Amino acid sequence: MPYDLAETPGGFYAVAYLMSALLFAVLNKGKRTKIESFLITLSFLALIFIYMEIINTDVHMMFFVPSILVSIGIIYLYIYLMCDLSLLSVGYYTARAFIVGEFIASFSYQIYYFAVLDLEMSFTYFTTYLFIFISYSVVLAFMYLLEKRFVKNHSTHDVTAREMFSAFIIVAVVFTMSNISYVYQNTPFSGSMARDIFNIRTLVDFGGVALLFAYHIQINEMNMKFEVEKLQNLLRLQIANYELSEKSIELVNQKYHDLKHQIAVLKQDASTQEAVDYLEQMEDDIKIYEAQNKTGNKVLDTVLMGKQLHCQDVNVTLTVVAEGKALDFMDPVDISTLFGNILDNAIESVVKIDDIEKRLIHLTISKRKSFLSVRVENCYEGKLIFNNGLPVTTKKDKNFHGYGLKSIQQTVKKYDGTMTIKTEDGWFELRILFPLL
Amino acid sequence: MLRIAVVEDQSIYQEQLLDYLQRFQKENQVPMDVQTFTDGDEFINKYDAQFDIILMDVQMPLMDGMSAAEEIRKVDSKVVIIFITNMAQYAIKGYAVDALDYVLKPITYYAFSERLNKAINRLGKREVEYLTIKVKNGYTRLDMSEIYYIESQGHKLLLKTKDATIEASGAIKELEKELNDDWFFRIHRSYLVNLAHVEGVKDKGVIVKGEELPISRSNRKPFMEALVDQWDM
Repeated sequence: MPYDLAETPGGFYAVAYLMSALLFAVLNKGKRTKIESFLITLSFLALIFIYMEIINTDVHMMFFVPSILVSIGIIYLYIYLMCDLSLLSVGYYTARAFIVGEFIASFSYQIYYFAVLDLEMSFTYFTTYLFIFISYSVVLAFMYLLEKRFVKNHSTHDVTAREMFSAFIIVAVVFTMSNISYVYQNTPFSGSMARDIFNIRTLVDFGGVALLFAYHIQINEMNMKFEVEKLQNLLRLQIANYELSEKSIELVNQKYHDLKHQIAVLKQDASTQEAVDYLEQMEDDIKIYEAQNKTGNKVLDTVLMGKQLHCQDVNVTLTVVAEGKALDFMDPVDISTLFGNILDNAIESVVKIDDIEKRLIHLTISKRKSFLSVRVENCYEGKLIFNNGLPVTTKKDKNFHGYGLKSIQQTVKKYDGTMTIKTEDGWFELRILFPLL
Repeated sequence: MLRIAVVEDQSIYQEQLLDYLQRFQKENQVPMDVQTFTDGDEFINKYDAQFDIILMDVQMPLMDGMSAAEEIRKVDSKVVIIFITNMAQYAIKGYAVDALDYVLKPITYYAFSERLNKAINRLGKREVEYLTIKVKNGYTRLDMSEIYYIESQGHKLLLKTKDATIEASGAIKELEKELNDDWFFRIHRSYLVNLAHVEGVKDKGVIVKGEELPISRSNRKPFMEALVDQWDM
């Protein structure tokens, strides 16, 4: 037997911490290539193993807490290096990884202890680590499935300071309770027999894991609710916006007709050719206000008119080919939000281009066999980063950003459509296909 | 050689377009044969499906671009039509003549060349590809674009084409590898469809030339995505 059985060897913890940190790294959005991840994981395994197994054996009680803090620090650093998360989120997942690590280590050690003492199995150094690896993998795989099953949108939000501290407080309490028997034998929560101690430790750790998991689910659900609310607010805002532009466009149309009439009257009375030419020029000039977009769908016309005016304002050339009639199957609110969002996104992207000639947006809405195809193309500059097939905004205001695309996605889903994004030669293309059958 | 027609009544724009085309030829090393016309009427009278791309002004005195395009579509469904207009509201109906692209006047070289590039890319993907398959007494060669779908029945394969159903031997998996995977999609264990002939999609079925073929739920999304990609061409 390679160890004194009463003490859990440091190696058990070293591997446990690293493997559970790996679990959370896998669950979150990584920022490394496969080779990088592999190398980082390998070097951290070496690092934490040397630290726990060699440096940290037989530490004096006084250094117990500092040595734990160092372990937590190593887990933190590892998750930080592997994942694309905010510092607070890294802290939060560190807390979770730490407790999961504690749990798998004590759980597996208890089985190991039983196997050695009661089943009289003997382990070499190698088979001990093989055992560790297998038993950890089984528990972690189970946890992985649980997370996948119950946590719908993993890591889409940034953890708040409050959430991180709550997680750490839970960890502190659980850790103290589970290890108190090692330090003091005489508390109401201590055990004196090795087996008691192991039982207490494993059960308390298990409680900690369960508690943090429940907490995590709760945070997640709150965030989802919050997101839905935000989308709804956005929708309300867009509808109000739409109504406003509908009114102003009506006004413009009315003025246009009045003006056209007045010019016609003036032209009849004009005495010189010069005056006639001038008035004709005027007629031409105002022509662009003649109900610009007659697509066959009034809601779409209004949205296009509003966006067209905005585009003129910011020097964007918007060209549209649209079969408005084909949109009849869609709810008016959905039409206005879908196309409003699509165009807003495109406009937001092209105004970043300095060269005005390149500020081009082309929208086509056309029926093709029993499908409706919607396609918006716009030039873009700079690099796009994708997450789940959607471009991630470069805007600082992460909380508001991305709701446009989310809202588009929701509408697409409502009508059973598919949305894809393609980037090629400086063009960004958003394509949506709706089945019409 | 790319055959291009410029149909434009105003000489300033005509010259500008010719100028841009020349610049485009030089920059992209695309040899072109350009012919100019000054009215839709004149163009239609001489039209004989001899062009790859038509650059067409929407407003012309005798016959406007939209009516000319309608006439063209009656005889030529393949030619790419790009409208040139200063009134966006006229080109908005371009879908009716399958002209999904247009360039606004005043024309900038950048916008023009980008649209032209897209059109050329679309043309380039229209090559004919053949498939050789083993049939009862030997081999036969088929134009891939003429296959509607392929059904696997036990050990034989049924290739449904416009004129006939051809029986071949082999595994659908092997055939799938030989077919251009931009054009064909495996919707089901035993069905492989030509995306160009897909007419619609229902909850559990894909309509190919009037026939409903089964699609599995998990294939639906990738299928729709493949369809969008194919339609890009």
